[in-house]
Amino acid sequence: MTHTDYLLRNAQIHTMDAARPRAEAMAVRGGRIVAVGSEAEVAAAAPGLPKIDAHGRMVMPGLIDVHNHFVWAGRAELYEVTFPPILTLAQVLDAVRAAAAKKAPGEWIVGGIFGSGLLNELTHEACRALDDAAGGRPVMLRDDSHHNRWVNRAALALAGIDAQTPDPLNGEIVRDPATGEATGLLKEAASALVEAAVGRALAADPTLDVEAAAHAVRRLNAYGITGLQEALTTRAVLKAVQSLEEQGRLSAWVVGSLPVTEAPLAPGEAGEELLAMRDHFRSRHFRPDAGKIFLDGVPTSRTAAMLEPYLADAVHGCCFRGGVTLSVPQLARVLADCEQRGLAVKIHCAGDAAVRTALDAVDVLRSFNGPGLMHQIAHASFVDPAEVPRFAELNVLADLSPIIWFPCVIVEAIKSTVPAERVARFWPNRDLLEAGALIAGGSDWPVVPDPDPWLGLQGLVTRRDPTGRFPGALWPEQALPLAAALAAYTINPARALRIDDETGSLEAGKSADFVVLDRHLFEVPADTLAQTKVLATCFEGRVVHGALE
Amino acid sequence: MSASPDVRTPVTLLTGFLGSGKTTVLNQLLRRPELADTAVIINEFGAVGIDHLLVDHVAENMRLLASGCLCCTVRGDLVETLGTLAARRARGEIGFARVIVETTGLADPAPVLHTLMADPAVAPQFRLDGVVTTVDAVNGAGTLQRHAEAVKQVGVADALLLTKTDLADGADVDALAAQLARLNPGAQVRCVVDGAVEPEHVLGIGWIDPAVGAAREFALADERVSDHAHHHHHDSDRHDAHVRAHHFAFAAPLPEAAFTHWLELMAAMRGERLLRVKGLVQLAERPDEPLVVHGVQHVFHPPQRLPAWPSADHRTRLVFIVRDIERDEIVGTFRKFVQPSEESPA
Repeated sequence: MTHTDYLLRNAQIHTMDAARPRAEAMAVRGGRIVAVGSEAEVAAAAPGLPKIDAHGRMVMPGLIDVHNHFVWAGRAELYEVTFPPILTLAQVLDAVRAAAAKKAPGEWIVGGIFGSGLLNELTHEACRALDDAAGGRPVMLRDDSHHNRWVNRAALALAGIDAQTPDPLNGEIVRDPATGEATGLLKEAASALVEAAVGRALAADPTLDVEAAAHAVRRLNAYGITGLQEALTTRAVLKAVQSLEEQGRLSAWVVGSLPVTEAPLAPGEAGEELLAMRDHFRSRHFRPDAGKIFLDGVPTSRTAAMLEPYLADAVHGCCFRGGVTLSVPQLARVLADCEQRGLAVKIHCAGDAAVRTALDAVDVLRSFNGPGLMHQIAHASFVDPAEVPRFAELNVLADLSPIIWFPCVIVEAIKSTVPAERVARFWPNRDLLEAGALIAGGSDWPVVPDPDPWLGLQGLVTRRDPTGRFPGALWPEQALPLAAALAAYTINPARALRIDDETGSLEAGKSADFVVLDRHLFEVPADTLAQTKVLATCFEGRVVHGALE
Repeated sequence: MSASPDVRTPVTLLTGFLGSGKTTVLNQLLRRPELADTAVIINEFGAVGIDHLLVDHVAENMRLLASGCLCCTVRGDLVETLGTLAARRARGEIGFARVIVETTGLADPAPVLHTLMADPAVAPQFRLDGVVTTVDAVNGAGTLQRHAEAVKQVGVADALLLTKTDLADGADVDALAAQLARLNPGAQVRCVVDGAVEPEHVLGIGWIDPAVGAAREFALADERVSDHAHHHHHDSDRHDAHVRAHHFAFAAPLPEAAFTHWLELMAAMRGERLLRVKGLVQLAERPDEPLVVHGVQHVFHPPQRLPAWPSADHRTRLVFIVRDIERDEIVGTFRKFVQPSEESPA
């Protein structure tokens, strides 16, 4: 007998298994669930197990985060300067100055998050101020969308960017209109130029990424997360996950999303060579069986593809709508090739025009090739009402990102580019749910500084900012019932990630991935859901956070 | 979209499997006075037995199209050779009014066709006239069973020349001719002995007449015949069992945007299996100006509208010569993306 053999009794178990939604006991042997039911049933089915008293606590499946960049997040928390996206430019410069004091000369200062509201202040003069604050060290800061970077002149030099460097496809090196020199603001795909330079510095010591990944998994386990989709799985991520698995430290199911077209944040990664590595990196807990496509950018930098024009500005004029990176036939073809390889594709679509393009392409795919894998639209936020029923019809998952989209700094920034009445009509979760769409919750960590799924859960249910910093409710009619929100963090993503053979619900035969909570979620006010504490997280029966008794 | 006469130099592609007699055909053709102003481009040294002034040799040099997959290559060698020929003509060093390109017997004809249809360096000076494929009456049936390239060469042809018929049994020749008609019902099949072929049977056979900028009439083969024939060939190991022609005629005019979108989808989703697509389309927006459709695999010729229909028959007619695409699949996607509520194709 090991510590993965026990009978958990006196629990209020929410199984997320429709055939048996509630139970009071669960038997675990060798890390697998062998029985779920009344204590008598379970004891009869699995005799001789030591009993653990749950003291009437609520027990539910380990949570699954359908959109997470945990290795990147671990780097951010361990090695980077972090500040909230509400700082003024002067405060950002102060944070860099403080970080520089602890760094060797020439060492990179990487971090964030600066608010998109600062984008217009990032002039040539601001770049010089960043040089001064860093004492000449290279600096790269990310914005709250994670699609744009602000860098100083030392970083531009290390990234090989000068006045002659052409804008990359789907990206912009913002330049001073008078001199033509790069101002240090890099939009979308241009960010990759400097990320690559940072990546070269990181690659010099592979243990950095392994420790970053280990740190991030510990953090996620502490929130009750035992499964996740890594949403942009580059070579560096593959290597870190493999090392973690080999060291027995990968305490979560991870589905990797390999970039299948050129990704703005992962230059040069997509292609046959990466796909050919899948089986080399596949392991017990890691399945590289998803693809990733960026179909547009983000609304704050006016790179999301919108059906209605952005607010007029000097650069884009009155009628700019952004655009998609692939046409319908092109995307349909890529999806077909991915399905043939068994890759279910997560399609980043921040704008409603991108959502339409993605659904049109899946429609083409289904029309030609018949039913196939469930693909995903990530950040299904701006969705035209006409598109809502198509998610279910076309077997497309809505990857929601509540922590990004409930009232918060990003929403405020979006209001500076997208008409307010449109912003008031996004994130139509209830409509999606009622139209039969499968929905799943994700954090997009480190795009948000905290991957806490309980924040997201409360946001889905209340449509308000759980921290109370940003007032008001966003389209409150779209609030989800708690049961639907819980499904969005458990069984739904398990199905979409094709790990429902292992996890996502508590039923005999599955991995014993569960959490013990400090409260009964259905009995507390909705505006306290985010304060939920996870007393214990078990992965394959093993306690990976807290304690069972 | 021009309706003016096409003054570009016509290029004829002469192809055929190893030993099928295409060099004999070429040698015979080049003896004819009508061919005196012809430039010839061949792959293989020493194959052409006569001292023709304008024979140029090229080495194979495939180049991937920027947007294409592996089957969508262009022939960089051919681009260069055609460019050199055009430049020499411009300088007055040589004169020619047509070009014949002879491929190697093992060659996939698609890259050559892509080059002629879509390469921006070639298209301003040259246009694809037609594709002539030789098939050996003695060994042709076996070759078609064993070699995918041979089936493809037949599939893309405008004219099929059945060679060595004097050496083959009459019943075998008839069976082979019937098989060719099934694989590519739109192509003329002619028997040639010792390479003796009339120039008008192989030149100017493209279905656009450049002099008037109008389409030559092209007849739809009897669908029942080709459908009936392919039921005899369901042996999946045979390459020729996978290739077939599907014909469609539509009485109602088609909306242009939806129709061209559907073609784009066909090219994107099924390009590898579209050997050749040809057609005349009656657009709802301009029913008197037929749209010419011409595609080889993923590559479609830029859409071209003609000033007039070649005959009183203004129906849309399309021919798909395909590998492993069922008729139902074409019909189903057409209904969905072009004519969701209209009558089904005839």
